Amino acid sequence: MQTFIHDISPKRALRGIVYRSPFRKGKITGLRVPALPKGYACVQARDIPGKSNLSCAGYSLPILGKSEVHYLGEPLILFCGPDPEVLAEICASVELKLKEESPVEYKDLSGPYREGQIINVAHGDVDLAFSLADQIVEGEYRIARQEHFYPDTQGTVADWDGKNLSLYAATQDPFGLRSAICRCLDLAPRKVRVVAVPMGNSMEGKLLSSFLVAAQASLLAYTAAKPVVLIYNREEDLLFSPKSPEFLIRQQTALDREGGAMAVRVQIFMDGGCYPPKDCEALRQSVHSAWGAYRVPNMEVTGRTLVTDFPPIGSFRASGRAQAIFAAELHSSRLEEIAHLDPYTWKKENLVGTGRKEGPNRGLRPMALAVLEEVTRISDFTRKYSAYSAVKKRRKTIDQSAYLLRGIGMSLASQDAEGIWECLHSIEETRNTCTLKLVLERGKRVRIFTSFVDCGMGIHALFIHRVALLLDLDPSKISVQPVDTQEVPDTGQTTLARAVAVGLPLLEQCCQSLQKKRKIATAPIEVRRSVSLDELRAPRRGKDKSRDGGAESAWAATVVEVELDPVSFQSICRSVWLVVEAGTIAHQKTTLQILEGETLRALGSSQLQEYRGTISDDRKRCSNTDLIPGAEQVPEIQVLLLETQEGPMKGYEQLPHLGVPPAYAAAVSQATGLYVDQVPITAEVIQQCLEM
Amino acid sequence: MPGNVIKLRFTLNEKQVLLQCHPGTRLLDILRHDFGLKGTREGCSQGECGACLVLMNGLSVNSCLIPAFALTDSEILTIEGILSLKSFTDIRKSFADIQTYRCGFCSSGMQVALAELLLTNREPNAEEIRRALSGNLCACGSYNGVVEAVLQSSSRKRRYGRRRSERS
Repeated sequence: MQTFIHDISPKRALRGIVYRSPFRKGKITGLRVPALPKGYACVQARDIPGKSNLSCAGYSLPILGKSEVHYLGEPLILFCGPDPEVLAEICASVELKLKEESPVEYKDLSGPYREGQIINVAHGDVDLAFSLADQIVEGEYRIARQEHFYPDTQGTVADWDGKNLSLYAATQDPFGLRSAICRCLDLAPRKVRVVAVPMGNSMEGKLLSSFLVAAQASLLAYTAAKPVVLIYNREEDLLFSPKSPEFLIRQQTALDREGGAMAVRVQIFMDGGCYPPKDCEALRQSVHSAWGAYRVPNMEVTGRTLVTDFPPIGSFRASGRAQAIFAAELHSSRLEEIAHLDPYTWKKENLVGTGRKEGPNRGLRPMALAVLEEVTRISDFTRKYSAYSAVKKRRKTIDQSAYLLRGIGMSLASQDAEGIWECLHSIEETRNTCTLKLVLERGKRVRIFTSFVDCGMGIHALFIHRVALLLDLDPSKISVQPVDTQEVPDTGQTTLARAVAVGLPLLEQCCQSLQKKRKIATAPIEVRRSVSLDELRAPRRGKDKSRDGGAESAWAATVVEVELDPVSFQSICRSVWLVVEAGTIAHQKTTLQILEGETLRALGSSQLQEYRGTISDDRKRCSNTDLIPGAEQVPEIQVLLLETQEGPMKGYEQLPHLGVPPAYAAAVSQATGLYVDQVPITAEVIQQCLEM
Repeated sequence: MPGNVIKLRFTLNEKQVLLQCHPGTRLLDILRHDFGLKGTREGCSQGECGACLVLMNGLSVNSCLIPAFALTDSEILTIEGILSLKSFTDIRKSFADIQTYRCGFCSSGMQVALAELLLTNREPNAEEIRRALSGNLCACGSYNGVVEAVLQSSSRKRRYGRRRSERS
């Protein structure tokens, strides 16, 4: 049985608790801490020995608020002690005096807001194209702020023995976490040890946000000189942990007389929360994916981060890209109707790399066409789409329908390899090398040393299977060394895409080297291989980075079929078909399992509740069943892999999150006859669309 | 005895145990902290996710919702018992391989739910398995793999059963 962070409780360990602001925004005028009983300690911002801000990957946020509060639940004071009930009483006795201010929310851009980062990308002459347009189609698309649901809440166990700090952390980036803690406590890296414990499927929610809870636990352990267990409870995690950012995307398309797209103008507004990163990966991804997989000769995209008073944003699978592709796909569905084409035909005719000469472009994308054609075939899309369209035309109003409403939608998306390299670079300038080690021991046993953690993505199983295949060994004799910064090399942040695209090639090189060394040396034999960021980026030099990469992008075409109850507007997903091209597949069974699981998560985020940001609203929604589907809600999911044995290995875990929401929205739109332009799509959203 | 502490006697994984605790202490906390049985996990703390599922008198319950005073003379089986006791050997053969559960956080709760089903129905169909798992949430979406594994095991039992009967 796996040992998760909640299962670790060292002897003599104290419990930690975070006192959080009950106000959304204001200037702190007084903060009184009650007298603490013996054996209890507290930490405030002024007590932090090193840097009081956590800085990583462009993010910078205070570990503890000092003179201002910027979001509801902002940590202000840390306490630790032996009895959780006493700690709760101490928290309740803290007196906070605050000069309250009105929180900034942008709400449809009507309120005051501050802009953070702005990114502009353009090609061609958009103004000219719009002036010559026969028709202009406009749309506004909203993708709500959403919760990461991971089954094990954020937590860290920290132990300071006076000289060295040991951390047990549920984190996807143990070395990054170590660096952050070193800065916070002003310690040298050799004095900080991070052991990454197994964790639940975190949807990238334990990349940077894990650093904050680790910093808090470390400060408490450092102050109390005893082990400290700091684990957020479910309500605290749901209410106050980082969320995926909210996006509002405005699309304008200039069409010629035949309905062909001449130009696209896209404005992207991302709610960056109160501490948005200076260089935000999510915004960058959204700008570069603004028109999805389609060609247009003239394009202008402006992306803006808005600074508001919501909790800091955090990663979410495919963050930025998923939102942009949602808007692009839904907008293209309007263009399909104007051109009187079904989605499959329109997408095929407008795919980047097909048709007329254009601006910065790629060559033909046979894989994109292949997935599109295959998904159309296996889902019987064309016939169903025509049938449901015909029914829709004959229907008067949906709320007077005597039968279930049905619709089918399609989307096309790619998971770009660019994001991997960009993110690797943005973490820290000093961490520009990824290393992996293999050790062959006596008895033909192999141990893999990597900082990639197992977070429900089957990464360790993938590595084991690969080594078994390459070295012709029994998988039971291969193991992955527990991830401990004192024992494993830094292979970088953990995501499946990085594990596949960076980790597996390093593993293969190690295996090749091991095979050679086996002939001349006896066990134990150690081999180590590294790749630098510059080497990874070398093939891309000179290429335009404004659109997604070619051979290294994985493609997916998704079809979703839904059924809606005309009375309650509850939607049921009948079937999902996902056809994926992801280069060489390391292990087919694992890949299919992961794609199926992520499809279900993507369906959940398309259908279920959003995070509103106020305690009263969200306490009602503090329920797991509002976030992920259960066993009886699983539709028919068919995943087909188009394998290319010669191509590179590519990341694919984002593909369901890119493809499912727009296909689902398109299906609901067809079923209802309404333009559904936001996600998640709940019964309330459909009701709102009806009333408009 | 102090006024806010009660004495409990119950059976835990087929062994009689005695405990003194506050009457409102959750069974989940008793199992994890007093008996060190970490396989029963805390997920939602609201009785919705099924991560804390145990068998109480043969029925699955969310241990995060069971107060200590309800335990008197009851029989509690946790995942540790289900995975180790001889009485569950046959049932264990129907469980999916642990890799099927991906991160594994929900696996304990799912296996308890399956154990409850399989105690009364050794050859469930897909619908019955899904209904049994309806109180378990899996963040990795591994339901289909688990259902398939149980079905395959049932189908192996049916084939084996037919061969035995054909021989006799």
